Amino acid sequence: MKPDINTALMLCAQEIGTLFLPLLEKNYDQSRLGSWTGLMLLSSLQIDGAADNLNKQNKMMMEWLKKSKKSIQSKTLIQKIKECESLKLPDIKISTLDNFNQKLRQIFVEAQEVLEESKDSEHLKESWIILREMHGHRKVSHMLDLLKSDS
Amino acid sequence: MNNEAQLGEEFIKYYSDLNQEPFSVGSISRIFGGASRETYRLSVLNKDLVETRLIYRRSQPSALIETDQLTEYSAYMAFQNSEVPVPKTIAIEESADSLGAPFIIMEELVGEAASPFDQEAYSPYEEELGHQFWNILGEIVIKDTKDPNLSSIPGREFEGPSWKRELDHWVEVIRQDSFSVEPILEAAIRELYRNPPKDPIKKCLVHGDYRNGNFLSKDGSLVGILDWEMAHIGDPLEDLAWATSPIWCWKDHNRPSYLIQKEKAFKIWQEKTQIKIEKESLAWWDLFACVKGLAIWVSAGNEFISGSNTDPINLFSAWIPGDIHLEIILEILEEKLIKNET
Repeated sequence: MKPDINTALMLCAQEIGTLFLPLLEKNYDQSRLGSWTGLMLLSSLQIDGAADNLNKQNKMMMEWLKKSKKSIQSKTLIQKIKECESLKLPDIKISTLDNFNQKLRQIFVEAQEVLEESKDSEHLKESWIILREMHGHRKVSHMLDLLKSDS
Repeated sequence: MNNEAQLGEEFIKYYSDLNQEPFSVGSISRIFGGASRETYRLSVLNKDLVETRLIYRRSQPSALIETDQLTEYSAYMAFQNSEVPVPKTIAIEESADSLGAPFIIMEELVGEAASPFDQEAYSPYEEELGHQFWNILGEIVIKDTKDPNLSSIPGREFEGPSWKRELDHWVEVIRQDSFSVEPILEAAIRELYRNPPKDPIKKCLVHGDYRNGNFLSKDGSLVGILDWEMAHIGDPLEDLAWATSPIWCWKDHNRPSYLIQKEKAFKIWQEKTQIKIEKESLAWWDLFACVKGLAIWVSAGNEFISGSNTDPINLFSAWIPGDIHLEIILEILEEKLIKNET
């Protein structure tokens, strides 16, 4: 769709912030609309990479789970990993990727717990590299200055 | 009549009855921020047109942190005319019968609140305010918990370990309100249960949200400690770890609450409380602060997603502070992993 959704959102946020926000009389209304403007701007910056980030996360978690499987004794957990391995996603909508992402995250947590108990530092170290990378995908704290909040 | 004007009219009827003399509304305006309560600033006038400035805090139908207003009011009562500056209390109504929601009324303190994410908020008074801020936290620690005003503060009758009471509580909030799985948060919860802190020398009053943004200042003077709704009896290190958490000084990690250096803050706190900071236990409370923070941000996200409160503050909380606390956990647990290897 042209113009792109992120461009439309960004311009909308800018217009609300510069044109309509100053028209509001009450301080509370101004602050509230100002927050919405900042959050909309932030969304516009995140939306383009959202599907790609989820796809990358899913691949990383899946690879790690496959690799770690040999150190896991629990048959139930191994079965859950195998089910994910054989799963074919019907499409690459953000919602589909996100549903799968949540499923993988749950198994990831269970696997990490098992590996912590068996003190498998090699696989654990790898898991933290993945979590660091995944966190980088959602990272928004560097955009703090975009948002003025009195929370 | 708009919502605020109607609230003002209802309020003034209550306030006049309370004082047994007629008052009128000079002005009423809602204060932005803090999704746990609807907070209004009111100017009321008596028949001689003498003005009193008030703060009127109403419970939200849904609140970011579901707390009892009595907790907040009790803490204010306990510190009236003391070394811990708090607003003068006027009234509390725990039922919705009078004005449609439970509420508290206090006199307004003259001072500025700052954003906890503004590095320059207290410039050029960081030094003066820093000394007051950490000394006051010490005062809270040494407060006699048997003060009758504190009789309804949560945790007073609890005889078990404070760390477990608090951790169980916030993990329960996470379990109830989470819409997504956060492996980083789950790892932190496991770590906290596996390696609990030492028992404190004494239990004390804990503010529960002691940080920049939750106090008022005027020039170099700290004039009010606010937002006591999460107050409870617990471990003295809990507030210390919360107030020094890097989230409240994200751009300058060694200057908690963007006031004075962390080491200096610890020194003031230790001198005031006569409690030696046990480093390993403080490290536990540092990690706990992240889990508690995330419980609050998860809860805010839940309010937003479920549609029960779509105030942008809830979206902001779920996105930005949630992100920061996950990053702090990552740093703590990665460091621990490296340390365990060597």
